[in-house]
Amino acid sequence: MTLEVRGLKTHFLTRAGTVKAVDGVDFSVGPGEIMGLVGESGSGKSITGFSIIGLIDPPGQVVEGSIAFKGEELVGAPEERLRHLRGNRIAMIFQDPMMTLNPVLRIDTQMIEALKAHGTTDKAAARIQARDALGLVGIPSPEERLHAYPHQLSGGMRQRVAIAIAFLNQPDLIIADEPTTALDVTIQAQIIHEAQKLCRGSGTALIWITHDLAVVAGLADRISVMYAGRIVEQGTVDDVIDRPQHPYTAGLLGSVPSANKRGQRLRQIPGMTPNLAALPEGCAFKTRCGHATAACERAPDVVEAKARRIRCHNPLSLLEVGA
Amino acid sequence: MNDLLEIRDVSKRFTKRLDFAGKLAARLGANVREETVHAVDGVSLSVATGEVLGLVGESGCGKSTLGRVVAGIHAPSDGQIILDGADVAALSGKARRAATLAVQMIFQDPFASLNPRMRVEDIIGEAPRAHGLIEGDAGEYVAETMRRVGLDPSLRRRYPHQFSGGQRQRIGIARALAVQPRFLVCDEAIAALDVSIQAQVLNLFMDLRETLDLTYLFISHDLSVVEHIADRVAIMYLGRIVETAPTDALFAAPRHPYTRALLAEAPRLDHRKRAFEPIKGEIPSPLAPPSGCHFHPRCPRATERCRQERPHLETTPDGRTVACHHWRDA
Repeated sequence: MTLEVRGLKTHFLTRAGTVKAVDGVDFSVGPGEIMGLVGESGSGKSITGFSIIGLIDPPGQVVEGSIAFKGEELVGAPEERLRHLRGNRIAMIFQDPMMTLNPVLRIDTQMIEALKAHGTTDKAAARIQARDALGLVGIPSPEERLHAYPHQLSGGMRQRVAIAIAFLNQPDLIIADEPTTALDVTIQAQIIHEAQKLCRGSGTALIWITHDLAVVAGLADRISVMYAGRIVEQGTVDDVIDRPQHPYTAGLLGSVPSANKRGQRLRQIPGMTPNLAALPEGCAFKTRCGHATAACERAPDVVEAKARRIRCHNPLSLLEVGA
Repeated sequence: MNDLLEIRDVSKRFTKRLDFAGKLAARLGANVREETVHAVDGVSLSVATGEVLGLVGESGCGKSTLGRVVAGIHAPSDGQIILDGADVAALSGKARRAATLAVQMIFQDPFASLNPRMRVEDIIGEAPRAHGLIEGDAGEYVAETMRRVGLDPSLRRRYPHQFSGGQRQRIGIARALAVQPRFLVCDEAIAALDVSIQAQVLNLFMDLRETLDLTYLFISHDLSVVEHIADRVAIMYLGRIVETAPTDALFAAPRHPYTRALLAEAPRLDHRKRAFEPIKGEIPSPLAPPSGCHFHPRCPRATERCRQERPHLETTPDGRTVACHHWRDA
């Protein structure tokens, strides 16, 4: 396994109370595998990504759990070691490419810098490597683009550069946080296409964080659905999307227009995402759930069956989903 | 069915005027010129009473500008907006005001479109009071409008920041409904919301259509949303309409190559891991759009004619319109 996360808890200790942004997350990703981490805003999906790469700032803190990257424990690892891994063995792609790119430096300066920081000494070789990386993500005339500043590129091109930088050192793991959310449909399709191709080709594990189930349906091997800091359902794409067992997953899928008949009312989930600083006792979804029973006053444990894991006392049977 | 609204050959151009330094530089022979963006370039559309027209396009295609022209926020550079058979620009006095109130707009960002210093009751009650739709105490009227969009009237003394994104969008909808419009322009009205909240707001739009007999121009980049709510869809590319068709027909068999690319590439739940070759290239700058058909540099079917000659919207035998020289070849 490239990455194994066990019982990860990232809390923010604020004056208003402890915000349990990530509260007991388990998953693993293997080489060349693409995992979609899906959730609505405030579900803790981005904080999970930031925790893995060690970018949690106070008042946030990884309070419990383990993150094993190729067998090496990252929780509590010295900052120097994390710095060595970041951008080298583990890379991140952000929603806004301008978070990755320095607006006052040319693309080549930034790419060569990333290579030099992790051991490449020959500048000419680094330049060639940077140019090839740009070509790989589908940037036309990469030689000229190396001289460009970020503002001279379109949003889609900037995101490609950010992806090229992420893939520069052939990392073992890439965490992509909503990388195509800000892009147009045709550009999004191109980026997904490139990312998929690169991962399959190089054996890089990819965690694709998004709110859009339709995107991961076309991209990922497995899906983890997060709600209020926990993964509530995990399984293969076909299992989770065609046969959801957690009422929240089923509700999310029901909310997607394309899964519904045109003109009919969408099956909406009532209410809204809970306040993470004041989560109710027991299952966090119980107030919005149509299947809640007295048992839901107790927090559900993970139920494991075949290739899927569900956190629910009353999982939907296959019959109900079909009905 | 009568057309409630007709957009007749509307264009909207934005020109960046040269400042003093620019004029001086131009005088001295520098290569600076006034730049004009054709945000909307000769668009004609009609919306029948009670219809939902979906307007789809990628960023920069001019769909929001067109929505703003329809809502009366921008005046068109050319062309006319016809409401109930009358040119809105030619109206004056009372009739003009009625026409303006009849078309209301709902904006994308529920955080930026509400005045943070106003209480909800004032946000919703201000316009109807100013236009004399209600007299004296607005309380009951505001409460009724809030109930209509699914907000608890007891929250009317609160400020926008005390609400969630979905609730704020409902406040924006209530504000639009408060002047009793007949036509709503929804500009990416649910794009900023979470999936489960999107469904709630979409359902609200559909309910309001039934109860209030509303007509919509529903602008979105999200095809599945438009497929769900619209009766007819218009596809826009770089300021021009490239195809219009009834929703079912369009999604079943798109005619324009751009529509095809959009449909093939939009992520869908039932599109699992597919290996496909996405359409090449980027959306060109509207400052310097390609000659002839704007789509030709990215089009797999482009010929010399496409580079030279602008295709006009043609009506096909099955009642759609397509702007492509080669739609018959498919």
